[in-house]
Amino acid sequence: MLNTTLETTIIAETKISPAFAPFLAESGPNDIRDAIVIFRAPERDEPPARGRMRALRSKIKEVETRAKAQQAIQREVLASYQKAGSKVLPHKQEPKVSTIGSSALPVASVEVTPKTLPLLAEQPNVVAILPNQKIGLIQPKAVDYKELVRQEEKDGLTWGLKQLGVHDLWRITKGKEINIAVLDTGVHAAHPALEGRVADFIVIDPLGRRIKTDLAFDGGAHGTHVCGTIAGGRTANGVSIGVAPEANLFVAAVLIGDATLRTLMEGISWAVEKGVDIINMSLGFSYYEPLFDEVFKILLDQFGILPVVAIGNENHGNSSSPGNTANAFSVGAVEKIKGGKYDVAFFSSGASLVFPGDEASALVTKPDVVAPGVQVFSSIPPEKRPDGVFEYTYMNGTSMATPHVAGAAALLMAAKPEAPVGEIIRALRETARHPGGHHLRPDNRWGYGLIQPTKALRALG
Amino acid sequence: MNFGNVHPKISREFSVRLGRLNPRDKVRAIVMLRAEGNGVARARRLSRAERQSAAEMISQSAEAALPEIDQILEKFEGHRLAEHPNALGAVPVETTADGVIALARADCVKTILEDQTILPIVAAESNS
Repeated sequence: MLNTTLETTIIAETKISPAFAPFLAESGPNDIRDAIVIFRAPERDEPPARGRMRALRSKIKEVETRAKAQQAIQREVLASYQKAGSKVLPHKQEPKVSTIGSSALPVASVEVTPKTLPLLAEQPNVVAILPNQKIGLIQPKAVDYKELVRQEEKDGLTWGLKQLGVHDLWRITKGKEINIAVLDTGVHAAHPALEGRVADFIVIDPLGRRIKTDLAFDGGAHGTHVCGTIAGGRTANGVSIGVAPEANLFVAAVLIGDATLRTLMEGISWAVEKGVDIINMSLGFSYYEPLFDEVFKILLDQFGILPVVAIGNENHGNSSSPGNTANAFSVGAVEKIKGGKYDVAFFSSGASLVFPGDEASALVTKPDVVAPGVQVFSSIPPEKRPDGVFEYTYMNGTSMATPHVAGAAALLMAAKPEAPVGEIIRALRETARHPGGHHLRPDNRWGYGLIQPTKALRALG
Repeated sequence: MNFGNVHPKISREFSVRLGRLNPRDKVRAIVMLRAEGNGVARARRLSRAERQSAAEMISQSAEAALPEIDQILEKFEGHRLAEHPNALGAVPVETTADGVIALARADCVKTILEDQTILPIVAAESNS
């Protein structure tokens, strides 16, 4: 059995917020810090009113009654603290204390020193002590694009390409002879960064008909941006935008008009007939269709085609179909943060689906991996704006992360022409970096982690 | 996989939607047919030509199921929306809810997916 003093000390320590650690470690014994103390609220005599709180008057009365009861406890706690504190502070000075509002909440503001903090925690009616701190509005992050542009021009490549270390891989291959299908809004093939890259283009209309056009066009800008990240070349300012700049693009415009699953199936079939190695799909269904996994299974087992699919922009706890099926190689987005670090973007989806009794896939955890998907600089069809014509822009989304992975897979396939698709998937997953360590993989934020193409290549032997 | 669906070849979500249709309402669906393939591609890299030949093999093999599919569709006021199965062994059809269930009971059918809407995963332009 613990002796009483030790027991009291242990209980007291649990009341002190861990956020005090730097203060306790770095301050002198008499250095003062503002703190908020939370004390025990008196028990309620009656259960709280159910439903909408009766009348406002009775609600106010209840708050006033509680405040009075709390004031008694508060007075006792603060007086005991001041008395105990005066015994350890210089000149028998009492620590400053003050109430907050009418004491409707069981909290007060106090001054603490490393010596008085444990004395406050020892008070039986103290529940917790937190350091006072600055609070601020959660505001949209202001991005310093000038700095980002300057850095990318200095590096000669986008931050995403730099993060993935593609320069090292480019000494070996740039994805030559690897064919990547992009099922999207189309592509503006005349874009200077995509010169010579679009090997074939087709429009699939909502009735599933294949329409051949002389000029490859984009029904929006999404497809051209995705294509630029996979296989784009350099901008006029010397910034490389594409992960695999020598890979061939086979683009099916399936997201034009009222596209349906039939449109997509026809696009996939077209890509298969073209003999592509990878299919990039930055798209989603209107509702969950787990049986679409059969299509991905056919792609992998019968054709050795890697389906790279965006997991969605619906935040943690959600996922998009068909990226959330077992055989989709699904991709979440990371963003660059201060200090050269990166983190999963708030919008990046991730969730697990449970199939009890299914031994092979009882738990499907998504995404599989993550890649750069915020402030991704890539090509768009020429866009007239008041200050000129723009051919590049920054975009955010798992749609932007997905082509980074498709491009990286193309580099691996080009460097290791014998490696089967199953090995490519394994290498990308196993070498991915999860900041929490391998034991946390896979989870619903990082999946297996941020892909590390150079390590994946080494893993392929 | 067991998705807790009424029929294992139709997803729970599609089953629920079928259950809401009137008897003569039509629905469009993609029927995935059983087709022969080598099934080794995950473990061995295929060349482009090998893939194209595998696509042809699957499409031709699935073709054998069409007479049975057509018979079922005829019974349920349905019809095919494509002349031949595609490279995945899939063929689009239009029929009633009962027609979809009857198709799912056929041995030559692997799965049936509703021809639902697809959308781009919307990206936000973040140019300053």
